[in-house]
Amino acid sequence: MDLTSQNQLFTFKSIFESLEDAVICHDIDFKITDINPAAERLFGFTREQIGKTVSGTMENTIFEEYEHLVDTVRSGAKINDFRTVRRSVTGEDLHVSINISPITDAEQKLIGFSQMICDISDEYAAEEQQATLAAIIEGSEDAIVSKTLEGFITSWNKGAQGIFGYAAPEVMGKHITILIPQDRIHEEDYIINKVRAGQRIEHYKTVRLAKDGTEIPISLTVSPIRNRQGRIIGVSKIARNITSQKLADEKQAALAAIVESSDDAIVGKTLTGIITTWNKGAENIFGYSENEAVGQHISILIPPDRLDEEERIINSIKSGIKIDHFQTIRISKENREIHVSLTVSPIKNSDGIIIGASKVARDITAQREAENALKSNSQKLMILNSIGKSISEQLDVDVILQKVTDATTELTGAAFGAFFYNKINKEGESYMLYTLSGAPREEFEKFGMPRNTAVFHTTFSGEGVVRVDDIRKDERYGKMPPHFGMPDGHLPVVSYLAVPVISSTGTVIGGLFFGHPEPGIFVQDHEDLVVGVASQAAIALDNSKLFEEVKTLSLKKDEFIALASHELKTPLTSMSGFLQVLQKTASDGLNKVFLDKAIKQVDKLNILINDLFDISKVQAGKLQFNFEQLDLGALIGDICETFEQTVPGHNYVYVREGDLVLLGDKMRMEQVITNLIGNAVKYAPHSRDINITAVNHDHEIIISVIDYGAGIPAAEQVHIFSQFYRVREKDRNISGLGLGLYITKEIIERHGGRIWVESEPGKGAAFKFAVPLMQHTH
Amino acid sequence: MSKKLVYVLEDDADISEVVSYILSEEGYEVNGFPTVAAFNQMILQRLPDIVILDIMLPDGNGLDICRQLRMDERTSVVNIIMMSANTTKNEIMGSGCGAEFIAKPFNIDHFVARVNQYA
Repeated sequence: MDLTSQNQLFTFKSIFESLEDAVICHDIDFKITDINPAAERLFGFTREQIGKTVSGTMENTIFEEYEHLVDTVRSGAKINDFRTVRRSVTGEDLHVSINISPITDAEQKLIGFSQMICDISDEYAAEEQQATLAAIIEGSEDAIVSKTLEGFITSWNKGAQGIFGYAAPEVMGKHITILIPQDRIHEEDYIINKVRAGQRIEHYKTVRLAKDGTEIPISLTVSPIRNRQGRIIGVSKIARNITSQKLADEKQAALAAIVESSDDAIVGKTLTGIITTWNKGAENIFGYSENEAVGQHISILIPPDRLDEEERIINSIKSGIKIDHFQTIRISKENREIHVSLTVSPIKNSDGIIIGASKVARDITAQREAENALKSNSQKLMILNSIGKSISEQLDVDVILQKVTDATTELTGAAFGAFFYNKINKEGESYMLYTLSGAPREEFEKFGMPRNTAVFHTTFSGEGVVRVDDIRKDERYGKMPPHFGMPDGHLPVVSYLAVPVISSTGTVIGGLFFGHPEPGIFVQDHEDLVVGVASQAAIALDNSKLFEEVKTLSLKKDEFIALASHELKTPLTSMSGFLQVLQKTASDGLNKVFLDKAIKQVDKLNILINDLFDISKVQAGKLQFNFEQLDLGALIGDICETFEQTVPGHNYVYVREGDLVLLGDKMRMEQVITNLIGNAVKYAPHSRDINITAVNHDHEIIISVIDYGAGIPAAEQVHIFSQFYRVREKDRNISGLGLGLYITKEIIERHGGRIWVESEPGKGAAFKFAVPLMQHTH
Repeated sequence: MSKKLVYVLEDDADISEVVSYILSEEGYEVNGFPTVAAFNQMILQRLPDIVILDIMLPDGNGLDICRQLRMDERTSVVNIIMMSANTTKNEIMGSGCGAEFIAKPFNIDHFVARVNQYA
């Protein structure tokens, strides 16, 4: 071997030894002739393998594959970059790339083969990874797109097609702006600049255009693509369609905005009552900020006497029951009571388990105040109504004025009120105090009567209402010596209201005055109310005056009737006397008959006069009674006897039964029985029988006087006990004033009884009355 | 036995006359007085057994005279019968003067019976 060959050999040997790839050489019988260090490193072989066959280094199937490869090479073909798997001594499978070359001697005779094995495990792993990524990318519903830094699209997955509608061939190489709405083009510069600076953009929410022009809300994640040298060569872009998420987000945002902007307090709490959320409304209503409230127990809002409500509410919530419009009171941070209407609903987690409660509290203080105002207004109306009623019913001036003063003082909220008569004393100064409300009379009397000052003059001259927020600042105030205003110790009047009371004739009767120690108390409403009451009061006072006049007239009328009755009876008395004297001496015959008739007429005349006199007494409430133990049974018997003698021609059938003693006025009862039997005789002249019964029934004595005459039509029965009413008015041949039953009814009622009539026209009439039986006290 | 003396204080002459006539017929000695003044003049001079008093009199009131007679021990034994057109028995009872009462106009028999109870 020459030196050159020698040198060449060494060179090959050196290359062989320093090769990165493993080289294993063997002869044509597969006996290993050499291995290089790389083979030792890769497979864990040692030089001891030399001389052993190749088959010992590999699995049977792999060796078969290898034999086949070697045959291929033997036949002259090349095996280049054949990829397979080889196992190392330690049992590790390695992905490898194999080149097999024939080894020839100097005579070109095949003496063996060399296989160069390149470990491609890393490459293989990378390929696998890429395949996985590609599969992921292809399978992703997100649009995954890559583009150059200039914005030209370089890849486009199925997701991108799904979202944007373009197929990959349509967009490859196109500029990314085809996806960007006109008004968002600037976004691209921003994104690219970020990416160029090596930054990632995550969850960038924007809108992109689909092929059909629809705007699609997306969330973008953009990353730089680097080459091996780390240089940024492109942009990968993942776009997620967030239409549905956006809707949910929008809904949530809207809900949040609603909660936040609600005037109602919206509070979340746990089932143990710990506050978990707290909106602006809650802050406004209860005064606690979110920081102060969250984590606190809900009881900070509950008045101590209502703590049990919370338990009831929570129990309700625990059983899943919502609470609606529960009106209650809560307290604010400043300890102010707030009327609230609560709506409490359970909060459920995604498993449907109740984990807390949401509470919406509406401040209904204003509503309550409105209700109270309404109540107070209706109260005022009630006062007005009652004052109107009571003063119009009243005829006593003192009572009217006191009621008016009291009511108006209450209505205006004045500290004190007074009515002053419009009367001026000799000096032309003082007004007469009449009634006071809210302050003792002495408070006024120690200063004497109010004086004829400029302030009062307006009212007493009837010029109109004076309403001043602060009387001390009024120009009319403080002009009059000696006090120049209110004397020391005067009731503290600051707010001042004065209303004249003017009669229908225009005379100023007086004035209603109100005071309050605070300024600005009286408002237009008060003024209107008092003016209203004052006019009613004026009417009532006018009525009262009229009543006094009528009362006087009525008294005069009573006096007149008494006198008239006396004057009528005086001649009647002597006439009756003389006629009776004559009757006693007259012989039978025409004279006696005429005298009887004359005496009867005198008696009738006397009854008429008595009725007239009685009626005036009934009207004046002056009919007097002398109640004593009275045997009504016996009395009726006596009267029947009298009738038998004086009015013959009827059978007075009297039936009595039981105890008939009452507490009664004998003369008046006699008048009643006489009237009833007299009526029967008068209105049923052809009734042979007049039945009179007296029975004791259930603590009452019931008397019936029954005739069998024409009877009384039902329509007339109701009027029969009225004054001046007479049945069958047209029937002029029956005399009477129509007063008898009216007086009879009055007498019965004054005995605590009642009177009524039962009648069937054509069959007669039954007048009945019931009076209480005397209570025996033994 | 001397006749019982009756004083009739009655301003109406006709009534006075008829009452006097009736009582005279019954055997009484009757003196009529039209005024309280005239009555007062006589009452102590000659005490009657019975006094019949009208109530409304021109110069006084029968009820006052009744009380006056009752209170004066010299006259307290005199029997009194009040007669009136308007006043009722109840008012007489309420006046505090114990007396008989007869309403005008009156029934002669009833009247006589009342007077005779004192004879």
